[in-house]
Amino acid sequence: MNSLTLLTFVLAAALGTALIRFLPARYAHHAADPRLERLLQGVPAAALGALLVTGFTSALPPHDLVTTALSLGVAALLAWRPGGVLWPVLGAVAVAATGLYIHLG
Amino acid sequence: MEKRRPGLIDPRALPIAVGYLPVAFAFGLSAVAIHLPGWFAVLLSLLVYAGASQFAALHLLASGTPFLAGIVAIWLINLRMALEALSFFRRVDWGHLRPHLSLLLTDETFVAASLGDAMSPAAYVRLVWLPYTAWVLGSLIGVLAGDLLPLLLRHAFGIAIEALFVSLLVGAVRADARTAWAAAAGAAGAILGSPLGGWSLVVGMVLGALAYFLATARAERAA
Repeated sequence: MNSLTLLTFVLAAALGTALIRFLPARYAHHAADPRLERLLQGVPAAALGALLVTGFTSALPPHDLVTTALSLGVAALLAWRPGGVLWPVLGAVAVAATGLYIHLG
Repeated sequence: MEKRRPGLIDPRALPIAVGYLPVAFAFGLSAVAIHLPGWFAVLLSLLVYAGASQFAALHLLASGTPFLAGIVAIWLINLRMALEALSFFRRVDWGHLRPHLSLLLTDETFVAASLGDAMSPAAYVRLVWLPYTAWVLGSLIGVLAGDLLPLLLRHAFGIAIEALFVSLLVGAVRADARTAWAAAAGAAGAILGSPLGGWSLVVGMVLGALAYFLATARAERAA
């Protein structure tokens, strides 16, 4: 593909993605039906569950699921006490680095 | 007592940015590896800012997918963001700023911004600017200097975003038990929808939202 085609590709992808984000945000307040509201309230937690599953197997190459589970377990334990997300994340990264060091050498 | 002024960065933005860096780095690296120009990777990160679809774009271009089919595939992968934007922006009253600020919404910043009290535009900007910068800079560094970061550390940082999700989920479940149902149904939906590729996230979000809806209705009936 030449540069002009690639540039058109980027611009078309960007324009479509911007509209996908922009239009619902612009008209979000028209979605005032209480049933829809109740439905949409669950979307963030649902996205969390879905993202956790889709990312679980690919978070740590080479598909080290034991280290992934241990790291996330540590993150959950550290998150149980309220106080921000930094320590759970750093704890998980430390466990992941240790696990990968043992796994990969 | 004097009220403490919030800093330039929302603490929740740090792990998101830290998680984005190696992924964006890998994205820049992959683009150059399949002989796409570096500017293409950086411009895609700058203007599209949606990881899954950007990696898909590389795959589609490398496999010779027709131009229009590639564009439509990217739009379809990003369609879930419409649901996220609708869910988040109905809770805030930011006037004309609302649609413009939606351009920096991603899966991760959406989740972080949505769980908790409604935000001000300034608080939202404090959350989203660093992940966006990390994403664009990570792509640029990936293009320019592929293998400077030790491999082990690059891999270990892959867990940062997942760990953030876990901490957000623990906090959300402690505040509202119904979110556990939504998250469990979201996870089940993503597993069931895995043959659909990028759509599995949408399946999960729809199922999770339904589960939350049913849990709320049940709680209201019991009350």
